[in-house]
Amino acid sequence: MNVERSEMKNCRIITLKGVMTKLIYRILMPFLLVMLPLVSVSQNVTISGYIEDQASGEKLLGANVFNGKTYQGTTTNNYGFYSFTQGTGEMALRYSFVGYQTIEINLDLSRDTTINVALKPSVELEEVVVEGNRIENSVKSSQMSVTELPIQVVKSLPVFMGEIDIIKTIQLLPGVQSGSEGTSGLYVRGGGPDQNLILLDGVPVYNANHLFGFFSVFNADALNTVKLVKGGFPARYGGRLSSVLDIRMKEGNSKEFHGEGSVGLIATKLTLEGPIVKDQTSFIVSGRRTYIDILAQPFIRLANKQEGYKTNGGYYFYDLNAKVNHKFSDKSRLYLSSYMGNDKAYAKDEYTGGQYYDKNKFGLRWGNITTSLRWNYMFNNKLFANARASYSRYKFIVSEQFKYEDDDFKEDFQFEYFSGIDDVAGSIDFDYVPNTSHYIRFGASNIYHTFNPGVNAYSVSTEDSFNNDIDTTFGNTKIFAHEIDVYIEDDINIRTRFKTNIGLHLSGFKVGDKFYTSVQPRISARYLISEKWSVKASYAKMSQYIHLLSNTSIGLPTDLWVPVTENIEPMESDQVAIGSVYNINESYEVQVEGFYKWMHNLITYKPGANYFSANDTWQSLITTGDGWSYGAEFLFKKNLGQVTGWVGYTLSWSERQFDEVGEERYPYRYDRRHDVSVVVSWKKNEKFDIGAAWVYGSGNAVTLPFDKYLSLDNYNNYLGYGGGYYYISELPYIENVENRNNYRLPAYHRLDLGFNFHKKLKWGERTWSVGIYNAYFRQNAFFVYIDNQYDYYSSSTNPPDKVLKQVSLFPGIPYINYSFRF
Amino acid sequence: MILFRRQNVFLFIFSVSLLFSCTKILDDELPQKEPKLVINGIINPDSVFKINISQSYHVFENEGSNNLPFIQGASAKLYKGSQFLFDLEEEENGYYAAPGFFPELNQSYKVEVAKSGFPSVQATTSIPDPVPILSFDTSMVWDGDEYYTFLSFSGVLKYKDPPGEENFYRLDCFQTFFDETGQPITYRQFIDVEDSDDYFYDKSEEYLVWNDLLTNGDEVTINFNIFFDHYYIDYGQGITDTSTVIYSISFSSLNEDFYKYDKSRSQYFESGGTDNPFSEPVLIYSNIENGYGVFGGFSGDTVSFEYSYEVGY
Repeated sequence: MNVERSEMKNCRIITLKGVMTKLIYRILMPFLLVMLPLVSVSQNVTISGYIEDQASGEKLLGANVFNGKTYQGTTTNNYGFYSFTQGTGEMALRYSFVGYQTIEINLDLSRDTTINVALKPSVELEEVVVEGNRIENSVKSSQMSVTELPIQVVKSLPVFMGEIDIIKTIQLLPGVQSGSEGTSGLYVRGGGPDQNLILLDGVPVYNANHLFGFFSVFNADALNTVKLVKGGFPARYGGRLSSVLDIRMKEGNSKEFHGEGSVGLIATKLTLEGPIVKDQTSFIVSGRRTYIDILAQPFIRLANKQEGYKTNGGYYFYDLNAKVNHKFSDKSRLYLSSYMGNDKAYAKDEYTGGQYYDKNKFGLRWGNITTSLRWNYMFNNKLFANARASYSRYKFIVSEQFKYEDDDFKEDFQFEYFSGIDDVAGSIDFDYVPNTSHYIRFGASNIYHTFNPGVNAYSVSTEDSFNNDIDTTFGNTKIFAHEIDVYIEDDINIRTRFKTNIGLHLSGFKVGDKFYTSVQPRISARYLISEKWSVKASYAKMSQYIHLLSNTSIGLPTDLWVPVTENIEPMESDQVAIGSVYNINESYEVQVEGFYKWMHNLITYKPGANYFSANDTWQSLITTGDGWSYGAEFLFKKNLGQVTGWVGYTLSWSERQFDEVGEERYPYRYDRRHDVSVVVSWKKNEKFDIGAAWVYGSGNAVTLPFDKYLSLDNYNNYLGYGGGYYYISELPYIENVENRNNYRLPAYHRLDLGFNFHKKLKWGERTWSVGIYNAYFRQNAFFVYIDNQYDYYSSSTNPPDKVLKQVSLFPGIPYINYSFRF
Repeated sequence: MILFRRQNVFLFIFSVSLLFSCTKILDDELPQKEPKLVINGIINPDSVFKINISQSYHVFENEGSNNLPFIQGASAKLYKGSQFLFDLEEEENGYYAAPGFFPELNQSYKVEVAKSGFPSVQATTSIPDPVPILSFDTSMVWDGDEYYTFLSFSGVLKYKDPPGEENFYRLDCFQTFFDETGQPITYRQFIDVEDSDDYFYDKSEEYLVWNDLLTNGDEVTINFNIFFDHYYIDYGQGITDTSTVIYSISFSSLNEDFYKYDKSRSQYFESGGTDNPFSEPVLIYSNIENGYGVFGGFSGDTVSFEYSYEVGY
């Protein structure tokens, strides 16, 4: 073995014999029998290991390994592990990752070898060694419709109210729409916000919103990578129709203790990480809390100062990410990660003076908890396993209390409405790399869901002559369900130019006596026209067993997750996509994709259904139908240099049809014909950088009446019972809507600007960030409504004129933020 | 109550949002729509043939006291199949009738309406066979506590759904009181069904509408309650000391056009029309070519019962 480059100091080379235990052979035997022809055993060696950040020990996910002799390569998986089988003999291995210095190792191998590599972050972007393999993923990968966002990119862009938000950055990508102004909803390729599988360290997060959707729950300081998959889903993903947002937390620096934090307009946050046992056990803890409620307390008290009265109220959210990981050996690692976040709005007033006592309380709380215990085990150079046990919970509570007490009478009234979902899950996933032609992944999982679609608890206790105490709960009953998934996929190099990923995802969902199953074939393929240019195509069938009953478009906490039932079947989609990736040079890349997606058994509220109806069960309010979405996406990216960023453009159509609504297709609310985003980051030097983002989108489709006419006369007439008016004000007019979403709001556009001033200090680095959201004060429509314009002459016989009014949010919101690192 | 609590959530959210919001009038108003003729006509074998003709307006247009929507001087022709029957005679308030003509069951009737300034409209309908009430039983139900007492009537109505065809039904209840001079006063009374049967009916607070999708060819039993509206009698109309109320249960067989229109219309009004941002919009069904409204038919069967009571002042 011969290592030529000076980067030898950056890597550790460990040689281990590949031994597969009998136990694993037993587990895998049926599969291996099928796959046996794929396994090449002669004259090959397998190189495997982990790639990590040299400074922090963080695993690098999606890093490239490339053999310059054979022009073959692979990437690390979600745990930083890679396995790469080549013929024996000389090889020139290059390890690379965006933002890190590439290293090259020349070897002459005759047996399986483990190589753990630590890459060094590049100090200056210009110094990055780029030799063609950096673009391995996008051009050479068989997967399409995937975007990975480095956290550094997210942090360099302008932000809303000073809070870095990965969801808002993802909204700037082609094929992804943002929903309403300022909110964190994701609408991917015409799908709804419930069709996105948002995974935090592999665990689903059901409500990714803080502050009624204006911020996402993800604290960027605690995150390592963010990957969005919009189509061509590999078989390992399942459970949602439109996208997978795979977010991985940092593992914590295993070398040194570090911290970072920030103080902004609405929140402050702090992240600490470091080794517990150097190079063996590390931790990261990150917390964030808003403080407007604390700052506002004195003013609220002052404004309501009255003898005997106490008034209080406010709103806050907080979240906490924590992770511990322990390395038992190079083969075995254990991770325990957890997220907890809550929002709370509350109001309270109390009167204690005089002859009586009186107290009113109103509260609104919602939040997620996710916990994941993960064990990575490398059985040998070709087989890697990840086992996970996880828990995810989302809960929403509205509470109200009223208490009254005097000499003769006491009353205590309490009302609580709560809903939510609890998941307990277990899964196991394997990566098996028999040779350079195959990369096989397979696994299974089971989720035990507990749905709580709205329960009311109501109690009244009185002390009077009637003594009518009530203590009761009513509403929807809990629903229990099992969701089972099994998958296998193989990334196959058929020829040098042709690569394909073929997979099968099987899923089942048991709710009550009903057991739904789904067979979901997946295939994607890539043909390499040249080293810099590839064309791709994919097909994916997806099934989804849970629905989000959404009250409005802005992702409110009142939205309910509900399962399929005997009457409501699973949602399904079929998506085909074709595309091409062209790497102009080391810096510039162009991607073009076209897609068509069919969606079945989508749900919507029935015509006239009232979101707040207390008398109806949720099933009686909804109906099912179909959806179509198709379009083209264009992405031009610049990845390197002082100026980086992208231009994205999406041309798309998204339609729905529900028999109960009408026979005709109608545009989906977020059907957006044109969607443009221009994102630029200019790093002048180590002290100063600028970020800018401009977005443009065709207006959302909303429903408005255009004309009106008289309803059928009172039916009594036809039955022979009375009838006959007519006072003008009583004429029963119908305001006529010919189709849902028949009116387009004005186009949406805005410019965000951010300026970051960095300074290195003795103890670390500080950054002042200033900027503005909606820099040119565009009044974008949040919603529109028809209103009366009353004037002096308005009366019952001279009704006021009617006009169309638009409500806009956030006409220019500046921000300032101070952040630090040590 | 739940409605109130959950709307509190929205009030809170919107009050927060409004801190950062501004409102303006959109200059590019809604698209202009040409006015159309509107036919509202429901025919049955027991009533003289009659329809109402009016016009549509732009949603921003104020009708005002001198701008009634009823159409005068229209040409309205009635056909039975392809055979011309009558020119309908104009009456007050947009009504056009064929005096003395009672439509028959299962015949196809077509109306053609023309009026200058509007596109001509036409519509076709027929009256389905009545479905007889097989039986109807009622009993009095007293409920309440030591302080308050409520009386309601529990009704059990049976019918046999004709097999092999689509049928549409509606159930209405009317209560008739008599004032001091003996004049009848009739009001619609709400019908209350068991919660577990909600899925069966298309929602309406005033009456029940349903189809035979789940009960084709079956003998069907409808259980419902009608409340005795004692308060109304006491203080509303100056009723004599001993009085009688007559409840009439009207069981109608509707044709499909009427059913679809009626269902969408009741959904529309019960959801608050287009003014309620918290309910889904309703598209009103229409079978009027080039226009709006409905031309439908029904035939019915009615049962009645009386209740005599002492008025407690």
